[in-house]
Amino acid sequence: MRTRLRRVTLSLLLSATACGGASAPEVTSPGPAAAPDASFSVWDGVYAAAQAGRGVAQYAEACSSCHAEDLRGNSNAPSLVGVSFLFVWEGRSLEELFTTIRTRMPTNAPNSLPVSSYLDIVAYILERNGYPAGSSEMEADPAVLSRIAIIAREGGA
Amino acid sequence: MKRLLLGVAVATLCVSAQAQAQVDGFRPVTENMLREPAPEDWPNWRRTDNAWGYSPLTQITTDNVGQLQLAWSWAMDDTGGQEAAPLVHDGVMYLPSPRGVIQALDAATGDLLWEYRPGTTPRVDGSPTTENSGLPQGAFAGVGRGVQKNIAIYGDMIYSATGTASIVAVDARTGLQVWETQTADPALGYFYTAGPIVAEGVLVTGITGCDRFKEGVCFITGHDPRTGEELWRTSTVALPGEPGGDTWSDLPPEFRAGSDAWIAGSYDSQTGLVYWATSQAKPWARAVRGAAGDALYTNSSLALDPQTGELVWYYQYLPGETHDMDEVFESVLIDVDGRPSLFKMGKLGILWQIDRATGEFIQATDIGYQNILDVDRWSGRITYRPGMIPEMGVEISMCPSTSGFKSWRAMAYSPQTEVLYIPITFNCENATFGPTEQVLGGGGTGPVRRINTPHPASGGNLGELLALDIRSGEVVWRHRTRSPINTAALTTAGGLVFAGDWDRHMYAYDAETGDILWQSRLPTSAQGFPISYMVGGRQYVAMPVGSGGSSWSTMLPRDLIPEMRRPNNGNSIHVFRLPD
Ligand code: HEC
Repeated sequence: MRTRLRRVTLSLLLSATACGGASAPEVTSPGPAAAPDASFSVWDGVYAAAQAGRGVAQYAEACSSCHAEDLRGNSNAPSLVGVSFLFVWEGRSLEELFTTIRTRMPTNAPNSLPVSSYLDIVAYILERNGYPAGSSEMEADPAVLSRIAIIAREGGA
Repeated sequence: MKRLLLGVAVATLCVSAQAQAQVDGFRPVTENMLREPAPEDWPNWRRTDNAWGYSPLTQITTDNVGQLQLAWSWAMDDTGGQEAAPLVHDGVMYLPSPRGVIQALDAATGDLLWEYRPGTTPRVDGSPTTENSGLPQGAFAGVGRGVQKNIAIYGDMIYSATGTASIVAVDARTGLQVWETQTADPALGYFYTAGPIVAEGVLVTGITGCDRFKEGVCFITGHDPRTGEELWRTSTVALPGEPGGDTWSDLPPEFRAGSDAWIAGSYDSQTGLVYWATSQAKPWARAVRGAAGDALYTNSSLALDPQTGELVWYYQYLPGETHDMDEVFESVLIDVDGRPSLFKMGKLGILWQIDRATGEFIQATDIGYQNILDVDRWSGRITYRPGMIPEMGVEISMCPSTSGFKSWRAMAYSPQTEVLYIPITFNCENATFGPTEQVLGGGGTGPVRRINTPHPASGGNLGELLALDIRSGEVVWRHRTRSPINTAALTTAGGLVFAGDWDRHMYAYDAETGDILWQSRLPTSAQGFPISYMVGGRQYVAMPVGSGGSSWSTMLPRDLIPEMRRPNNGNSIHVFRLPD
């Protein structure tokens, strides 16, 4: 019941279409490490394609010199894609990822970009990790972001 | 069309501006001047071939150091990490800045004589140089923080190695570029952070950026300083079919990553050998890289013939290293009771002494801060402690963290005290190592779930300058600071040691007692390689300052000393002398 309620709330916040498309979110086990109140996952279309598109150039400008153009990192900066990214982030919330990036990155100038740029960049990271876009833009609302879990695949893997 | 004309006009202006500002009466640097520097000069990155970081100047002493005053300072580019090792020759300072910029300054006043700015300063023939500021197209590893540590001076040229995997020669009189030689494809991740050294008329340079899986491994090269022609190239990884090639299990060459050569080496004209060290294997943990063997020649000292690049001997400190415990750092050459020795300390805080003529092990001193392995003092054999070899997905509590106790902050040696002065950062970590993709372009260090924790023996401090007796390995003194010691150490014949911390202090220590005899506050963290030199009969001490350093100057202070803050800009150099 609680879960259902949250889903409705999120849908409202993301605009009704975000979660109401062909693939309505199946609420399966969010994984052992997931934040207990996570009701949604990055598979639910939590950002807009246009937002990720804006993130491309901003990532290149603010992040790629350390995390590399293909997001796989270098000897100093960790990978932001694939199994390496999931190893660190699986089961944690999008709020944590967003806040980590906003308050710590770039390491030489944390919190130096507009919030919208951080959102665009996070959207781009999600896109590069293969998570689907939805129809609404992701917003910097901790109440919403903290309910979205980063998971590998619904139902495991 | 108009734009083109303007471009030409600007280029012309630059050339004439360059031509006006230059080093007058430049005296070419001979091999002998590098081997036995004039007391006033600092012509190699650690002044002498043996990497002592020691100045024989005696004007500034334990008695008068308390009167040191700022003579001049100079703001450097804030375009990247600042870890400069300046050179001084005949009263001119040659200062490496982030992203390939080099400036020649009057070492007594800080007045600019010329600057070399890749992409802006032309070549000697007026043609444009390549920009070294951005990320090369298609790069999958990136130039990181644009760090340019050391440069070299020889003949009438300054030599640097770039963030885009080339070696550059610049006219030491004018700053115009004479040649540039590409050594590897930066789009594959190759780049330099350490510059060349000169030995027997050969430029020797080691590359980095070998963490990602690719066709090709890290290497050290010899180049002709006049022409930029490559004379030899020695791989830092043993490949299948070569001696040592079976130490990576049966991994194909493209998955033998790491062994980066990211710190400049030393040279001994007696043995005729260049000593260059290598970094750990990548991915960091054995379980992640899928190879259980020693992984030659990672974490080793390599003794190379500078004429041919031939590997005369090697000594591997940590066979099959598995926690990111790098041993790549400076090679300090000291003769101890007639035995030509090489001293090295890596991230674990073990002081190694090996015979630099033969590569034979002499002794190892564990300073006792690490909890990962046991080292036999007289054989050098290491044994991992129970439960300390990381398995994928299993958390271990390790000291140090992957930041290490020691890093590129080079130790200095004083022949007066026969003591090594070692900049230390205290740190531990709850670490869980995880998987990477074993495909070309994949690999890397491997992910780590990392929780930084304070070191139990540190008393809440992150920094220490540690003075170790070279014979016994015993602690002569230690001086702790709340923030990391963030620079290399400098020793002088005035009985002094200089270093600085993250919290903007620069310190002059009494080399015998560790007492702080003088200190100053800087615009941001002291960072880089302090030096001392003399111009016009006056001794100077120069301290580089800046940001954009390694994990121990970014995430460790952030997590472990959150009450301290520093500006995230302010790259600069600050130069002190006694009052008139
Ligand atoms: C100057 C180099 C640099 C730049 C630029 C940079 N990062 Fe980082 N990043 C690092 C380093 C080093 C770490 C690991 C240490 C730390 O957390 O401080 C890191 C960690 C991270 C992490 C945490 C990963 C983990 O596994 O915990 C994320 C996420 C991240 N960066 C995203 C970004 C984004 C997004 C940008 C651009 C806005 C960016 N970074 C820019 C160097 C950089």
